[in-house]
Amino acid sequence: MKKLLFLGMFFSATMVFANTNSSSEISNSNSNNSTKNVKNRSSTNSVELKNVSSNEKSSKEKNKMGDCTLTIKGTFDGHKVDVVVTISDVSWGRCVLLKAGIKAAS
Amino acid sequence: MKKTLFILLLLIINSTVYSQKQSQLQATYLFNNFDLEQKYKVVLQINANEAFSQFTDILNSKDSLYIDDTEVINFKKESKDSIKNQFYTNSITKKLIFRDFIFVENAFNPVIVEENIPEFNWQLTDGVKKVNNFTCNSAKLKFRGRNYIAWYTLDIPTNFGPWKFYGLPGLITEITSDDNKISFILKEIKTQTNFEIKTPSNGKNITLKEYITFKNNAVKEYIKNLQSKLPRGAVINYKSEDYNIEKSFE
Repeated sequence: MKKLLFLGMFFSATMVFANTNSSSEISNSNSNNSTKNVKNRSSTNSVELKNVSSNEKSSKEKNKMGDCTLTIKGTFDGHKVDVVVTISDVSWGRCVLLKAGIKAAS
Repeated sequence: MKKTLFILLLLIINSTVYSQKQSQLQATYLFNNFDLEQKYKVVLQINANEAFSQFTDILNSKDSLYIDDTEVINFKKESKDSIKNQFYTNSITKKLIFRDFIFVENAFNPVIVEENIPEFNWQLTDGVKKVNNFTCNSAKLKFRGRNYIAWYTLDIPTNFGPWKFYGLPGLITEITSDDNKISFILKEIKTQTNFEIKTPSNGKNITLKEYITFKNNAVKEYIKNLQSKLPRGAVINYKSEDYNIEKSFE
C-alpha cells in the first residue's frame, strides 16, 4: 500500500514538474528579451502565416475550377448586341486568358 | 436665211444647255441616326432624271474596344472606308443603285447593289410650315420598318430626295422617323454647273436578295466568328436590336 502511495506521489510529482517546465517556457517567453523575440517571432510568424494563407487562398482560388462568364456589349453593323459567354470548368488563370482572347476576337 | 437659221440654232442649243445647267441642283442634308450616334453630311445632286447621294462622316467615329469597371467588354465596329455609302436613282430606268458594306470573313466589304426603285406610298397630309424660307407641305411614309414624317417644297419640283427617298412632288426639306431616331435636315441648297452624276462604284456587285441575306445574318456572322475563337464547350447567349435605317425589306 505504501509502495502504491509512493508510486502515486512520484507520478504526481513528475506531472507537476512537467507542467512547471512548460509554464516556465511560457513565462520565459514573457520575460523582456524573450518576449520581444517571441513577439517578433510571433508577429513575423503571424504575418508569414497570413501571407502564406493568403497565397494559399489565392492560389486555391486560381486553381479552383468554375464557370467563366464574360459580357460583351457593343454596336455591330447597325445592331446593338449584348453577348454573354460562359465557359464551364475553367481556372481563374485560364478565365483571364480567355477574356484577353475574347477581347482580341471582338 | 442661212444666217437666221444659224442664230436660231445657236439660241436653241444655248437655251437647252442653260436649262440643263439650271436643272442641276445640290442639296446638303444633315443625317442623324441617334441610336447609333451616327452623324453624316449627305450631299444630294439632282438633274432632270438622276440623283446621287453621297454620305460623309461628320463625327468621324472610330471602331473602339475597351473593358469597363464592371469587366464588361464594350466595342463598336462599323463598316467604313474613304468612299462610304452612295445612292443613285434613275427615274427613267426606275433603278436604284447603292453602295453599302457586308460583313464577310471577319471584315466589312463594299458591295454595289441594284434594285428597282421601291414603292414609296407617300400619304400627302395637310401640314404647312416654313423650312429655310421654303413653304413646305407635309407627307407621311411607311418604309422598310420605319414611319416617317416628311416636309417637302413645291418651290423646287423634283421627285428625288436624299438617300433612297423618291416620289414626292417637291424637294424634301426635312424627314424624320416618328420615333425621332432618324432624321435628314436640309442645310444648304445651291445650283451647280459642271458636275456629272455618277453611279456608285468600288465594290463587288451582288443582288438585292444576297444583300438582304447578308444584312439579316450580320449578327449571326459576328457570333459565329466569336464562337470560332472560343474553346470547346463555350456557351454564347446573345440578343440584338436593329437600329439601321432599314429594319426590314418588303
